[in-house]
Amino acid sequence: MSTAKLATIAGILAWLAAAAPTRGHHSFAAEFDLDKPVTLHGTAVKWEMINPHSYITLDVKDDDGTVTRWSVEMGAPSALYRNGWRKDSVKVGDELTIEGYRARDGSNTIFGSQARLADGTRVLGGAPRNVPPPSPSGSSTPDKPPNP
Amino acid sequence: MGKLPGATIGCIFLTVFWLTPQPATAQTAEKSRESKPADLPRLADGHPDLEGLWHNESGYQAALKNLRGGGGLAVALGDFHSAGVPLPFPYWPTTKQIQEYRDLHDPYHDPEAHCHVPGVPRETEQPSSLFPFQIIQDERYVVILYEYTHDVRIIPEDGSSHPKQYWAWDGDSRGHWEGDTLVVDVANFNGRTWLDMEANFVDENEHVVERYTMTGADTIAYSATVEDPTVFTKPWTMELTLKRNPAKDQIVYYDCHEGERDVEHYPKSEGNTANPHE
Amino acid sequence: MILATSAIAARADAKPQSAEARVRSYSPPRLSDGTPDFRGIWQAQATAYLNIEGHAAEVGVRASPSIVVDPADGRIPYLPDALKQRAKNYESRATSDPAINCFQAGVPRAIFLPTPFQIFQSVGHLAIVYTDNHSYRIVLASSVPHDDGIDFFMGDSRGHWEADTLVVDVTDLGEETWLDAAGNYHSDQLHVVERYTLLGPDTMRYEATMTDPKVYARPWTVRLLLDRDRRPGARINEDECIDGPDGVWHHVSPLDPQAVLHHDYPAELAREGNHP
Repeated sequence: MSTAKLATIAGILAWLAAAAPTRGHHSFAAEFDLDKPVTLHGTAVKWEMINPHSYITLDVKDDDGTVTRWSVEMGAPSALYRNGWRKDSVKVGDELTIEGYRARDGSNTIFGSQARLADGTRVLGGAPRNVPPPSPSGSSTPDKPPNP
Repeated sequence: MGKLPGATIGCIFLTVFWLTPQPATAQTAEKSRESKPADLPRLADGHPDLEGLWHNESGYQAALKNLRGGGGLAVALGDFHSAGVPLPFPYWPTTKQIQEYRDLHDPYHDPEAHCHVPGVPRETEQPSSLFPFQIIQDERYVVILYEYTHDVRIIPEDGSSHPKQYWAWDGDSRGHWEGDTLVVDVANFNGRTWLDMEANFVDENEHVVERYTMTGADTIAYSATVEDPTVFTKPWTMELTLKRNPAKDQIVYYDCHEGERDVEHYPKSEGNTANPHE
Repeated sequence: MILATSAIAARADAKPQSAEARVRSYSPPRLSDGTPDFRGIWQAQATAYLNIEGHAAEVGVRASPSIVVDPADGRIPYLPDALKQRAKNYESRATSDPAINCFQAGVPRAIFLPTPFQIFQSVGHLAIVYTDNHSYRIVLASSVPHDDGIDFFMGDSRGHWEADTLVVDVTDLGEETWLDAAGNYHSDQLHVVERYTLLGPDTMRYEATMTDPKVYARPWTVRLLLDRDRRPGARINEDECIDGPDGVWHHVSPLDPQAVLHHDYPAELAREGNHP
């Protein structure tokens, strides 16, 4: 996986996962490969706050200028909404850094587990109510399993 | 579970407070009979008022067996498990093979992955640990409005019988009260639903008896006894604790089918023989 | 506008009253908090689901005039470009109508579909459950702010009572639903104000005013009647769709024996042996 330009806008790492709570309707591992972590740096083309999964479409530019379009899948909008997400939370042109896991079928699709946004202040992830905000160190594991 | 003695009818101003979570045990019914809570909110007909927004506190039966990343990620993804859900289910040898095959090779055909309604009792157990449901109730109907896939179950309380020519994902529900317990008999299933994401399943011969017992103003002890003689050798019972959501919470509608374009990414090895990306 | 027949008969020998006075003279049954009791199963008389602006007779369906009462000419007051879009929608309706693929109908289309809906109501709660795609709307009190920032196919509904009329304010409808099967449409700016009024024990008047500055030159209003279904055992049937071999989702009736998926476990096990 080639690296791309790093986002120049600093932001707070926001936690997208607690993926199981957002995967209300099918098995994560059937579709995504936990052994294939991916980090994407790119420009938001589209933000769709829809069911059953929300999507960020991201244009990722390689060092040689090639642009690849990626689809970042996230949780259900009702779960994201309860964590402060709105349909205008990501705007076209926002610089984003997103970590996730690649789809097993080899397409340019990942399930987003962590994101650094242009404004960086959102708590993400479709986690259920009462989930504590992510630690600033951006560790990939929450301190305890979330409770609904 | 026998009849509960009639409780004192009282009119209580409902306040929202969090009770100590009650363990979902087979003795829950016994406890509620002994403690005979007189402080339940009640409708004019004397029955407990189940109205409000609820969720399954007993957790989400994550398909942990399908997570191949190891325990660390299981924690990161939320290591839920359902208290009180008996595993393994009492399959026949043939249907056990079917379940194992589907679990390993065919999760693509989980109807829920295609935005179908989850069926009964799955709708109460799995998505409702994450997405709540609203109950509206009067003397004639209990209606349950599930956030997930905007599923709806209309439960008449008029003592009417199941229809003869009717087959549905959620079946046909008929409710009556036994003391302070709402008993819902569900039949007329169409055989198209699974029980969870581990490919546990039922077919068109499913029959469910649910019990909703309010054990406090913010807690419902829920049980579902499932029988399906062509799938299971004997009936089995699932017990869950349902908790009331905070007062300011509301349903955030879950349109599903309209935005579904994720399931196409299931690989062929998971049952998606027509995956366009492989 | 035509009142319910019983209302006309009852007043045939009374002195002429205004339409408003006739409506006010029906006092409906009420819940314990005094709000009118709207509970029950309702269905529109009109065939506006085909075309809000009216349509000629089709096989099995009688001709129908427009249900648009304002403007007086019965035409939706589209902006010029929007009118062109409506024409495009109409031409491609066999494939581009979102309802073709079992998308939820939205508001106001869901109200005048040819399948019934049921109103559930208790003190402090009101919900409408539609047969079509088992859609539902929970009407929260007007004091609760709208969920702006997220769109729903069935919108976000807030209600209050004006005398015995339920007024429902609907926003956040998104832009993907149509208003009927003829390509009448809206943008994500659509704002609908509905008015439900009981005219008699089994008749309800429905009005809806649509505002959408991106599509319509001005607000416009439809009006139609809803009948109560009084048949014993009347119910809202489940309505779920399945994906057909043609790649399109189709409604499956639970009354159809073909709704049942009969399992053949030996055959399925035999196929297992062929798994790659």
